[in-house]
Amino acid sequence: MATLELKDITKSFGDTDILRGVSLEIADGEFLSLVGPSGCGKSTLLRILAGLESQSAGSVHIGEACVDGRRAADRDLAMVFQSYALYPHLTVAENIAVPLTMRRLRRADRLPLMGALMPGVRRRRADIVRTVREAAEILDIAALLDRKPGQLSGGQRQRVALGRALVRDPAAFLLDEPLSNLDAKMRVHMRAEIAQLNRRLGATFVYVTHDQAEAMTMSDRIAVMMDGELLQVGTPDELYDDPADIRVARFIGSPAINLLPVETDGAGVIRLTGRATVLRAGPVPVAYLGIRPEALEPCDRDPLLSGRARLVENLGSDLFVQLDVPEMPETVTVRLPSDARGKIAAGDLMHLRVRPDRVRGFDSMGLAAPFGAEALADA
Amino acid sequence: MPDTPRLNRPEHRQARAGSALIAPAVLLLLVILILPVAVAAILSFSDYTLGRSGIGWVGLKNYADIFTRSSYRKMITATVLYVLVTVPVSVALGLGAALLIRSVRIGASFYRTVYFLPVMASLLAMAIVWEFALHPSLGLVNRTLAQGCGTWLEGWPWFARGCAEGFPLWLSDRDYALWTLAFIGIWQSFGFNMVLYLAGLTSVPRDLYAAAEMDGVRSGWARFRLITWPMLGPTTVFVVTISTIRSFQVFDTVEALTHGGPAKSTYVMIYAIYEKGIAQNLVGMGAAITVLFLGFVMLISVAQRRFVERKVHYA
Ligand SMILES: Nc1ncnc2c1ncn2[C@@H]1O[C@H](COP(=O)(O)OP(=O)(O)OP(=O)(O)O)[C@@H](O)[C@H]1O
Ligand SMILES: [Mg+2]
Repeated sequence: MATLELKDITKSFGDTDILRGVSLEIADGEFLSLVGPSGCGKSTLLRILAGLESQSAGSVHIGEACVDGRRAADRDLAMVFQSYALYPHLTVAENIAVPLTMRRLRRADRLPLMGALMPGVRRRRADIVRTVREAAEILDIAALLDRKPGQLSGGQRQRVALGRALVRDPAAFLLDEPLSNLDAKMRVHMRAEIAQLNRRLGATFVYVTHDQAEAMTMSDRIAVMMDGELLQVGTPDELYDDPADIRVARFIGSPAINLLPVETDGAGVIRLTGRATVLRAGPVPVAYLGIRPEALEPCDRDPLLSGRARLVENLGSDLFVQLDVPEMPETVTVRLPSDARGKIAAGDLMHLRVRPDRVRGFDSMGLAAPFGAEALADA
Repeated sequence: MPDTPRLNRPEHRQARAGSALIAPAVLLLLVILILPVAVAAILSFSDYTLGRSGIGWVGLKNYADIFTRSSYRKMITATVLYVLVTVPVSVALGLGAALLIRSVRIGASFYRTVYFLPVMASLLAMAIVWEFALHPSLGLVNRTLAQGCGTWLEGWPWFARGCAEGFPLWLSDRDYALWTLAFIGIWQSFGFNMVLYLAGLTSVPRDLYAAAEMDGVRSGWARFRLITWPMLGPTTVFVVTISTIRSFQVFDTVEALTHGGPAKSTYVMIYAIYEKGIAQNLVGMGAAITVLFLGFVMLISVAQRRFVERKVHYA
């Protein structure tokens, strides 16, 4: 159990900068998710934290101690690799037992014949077998303990890799997309297991994922990474409601947020498709409005937007409508409650409005641009 | 609908075409690979010599000779000793060199080339160099050793005796000749094993070492035991098989340096086959040794296979 801290980490492979000044503090017992598109440097950051890769500049702290130059085996972290990295010649049980035998048995104890004669080894070996079995039961792979990794499915292998990390009691767990290969049901189950484990052990978790839903449901905080930089670190609610960057807004939430290009005139009035809105820009001109699909609601008069439904997707619990809005480059997505089912069909004209406090503005660089004070007063 | 005649059905036509197509390959296989062995097996029961018209059947006499006459017992001893020494040493050295080359950052390709040189050079040509180097009085080896006389090296009894009575006649002393040949054999073949191991090492996923590090594997030896050695299992099987067969086949150094002597101490099987079957024209005897030789090689392949199926992990 420990805090983790990354200070201004940079990493280059040759001429290409993979990480550009990443700073991150992770509290003791916190569950932090690291999300971002493929190739943005998530695994690299995790490997630097683990000590498997050395940073080009910056420093890593675990607990109070600076661990730069301390080898991975001595950092007391457990990691699940994106590639699983199971030992192919060992059975599932042996794979899961490796971290325990390596740490709990001394070198002499591990010798094939001599080891058995050492005092206490038999008991410790029995302990290990029991711990492995318990971990296997949590992960629902107890029936596979005698198989080799080559005889397992991708999802089963992933759970073995998870088991190998979970049998230990490390300072922190680093998980690199540990659920990416599981089916939907197993994924939900494992999500709950991991979150529960985090609470039970009180251990710090750093969890890398592509899947923003996973990050939203499990994390205390989420760090969004793009092109080797952290765009925003915050609670799931903060990221969802107040994205600091247009790329964060785009990444978090499914279906994606609607980003409407707008103009800000000299008086600070924000104009959408040429028409003035009630919104007023603050000191920074607003170039995009970000509106979540559920923030839009149908109305009869003074609509912010009007358009024809192109596609109606019925999910049972909700209804997603894709609207073609004139002069808008992309369709606008609206989320309607399930009682709107059957009341709207493709081709229908819809008028929509939005509560101004549920709209976010972004400037032309993509950074969040707060609205002026009078905008909210108008609402 | 009229019945298609049985033999004209598509599957039959295809089967016939198939047989016709593999016939040449099967024929070649029989003529080139099986027939010579069969002929050798048959001749081994005769006293046939080339140029004589008749053929006399002698039953198992040739084999009885092999197992009773001392020169053939020496042949088997020399061959087995040679194999037992060269194979483990050249495999271990090949693996060691491969691991070292993998661990150096610069100069890997230089070392790779240097260690591989003996493999590419003709052993016959290199044998001439060795003959010079090992010459009892003029050779580089003994002259270098003589430089050590009068120094602390004399504390070593073997060395002191060398200084007093002269250093060994490497190739013509029956206590040394076989070991000298084994040394040359190792020198020549470990580079080949090294290249095979280097290829094997590239197929070990790097992430496994990272995982081992996370699992608390600290020493290089533990890493080797946990990952490298098991992952190289298939390579090792191949390397050992190839090395064994090549060691059984040693001939050129024997022919060039010792002619099977002194006192038949380096009288290895292939050399015996050559001497009996070709030089002395005792074809029947040569054939019998050949059959024995094939038996040995076959036995080793089968034993290895048996052992391997159980022990080695194939990914
Ligand atoms: N050893 C290396 N040498 C050169 N470039 C590398 C190396 N390892 C990673 N990279 C590059 O660094 C970038 C980030 O890689 P990384 O594996 O951290 O991405 P990621 O965010 O984990 O992606 P994914 O979600 O697909 O796993 C990639 O562009 C990759 O090509
Ligand atoms: Mg990755």
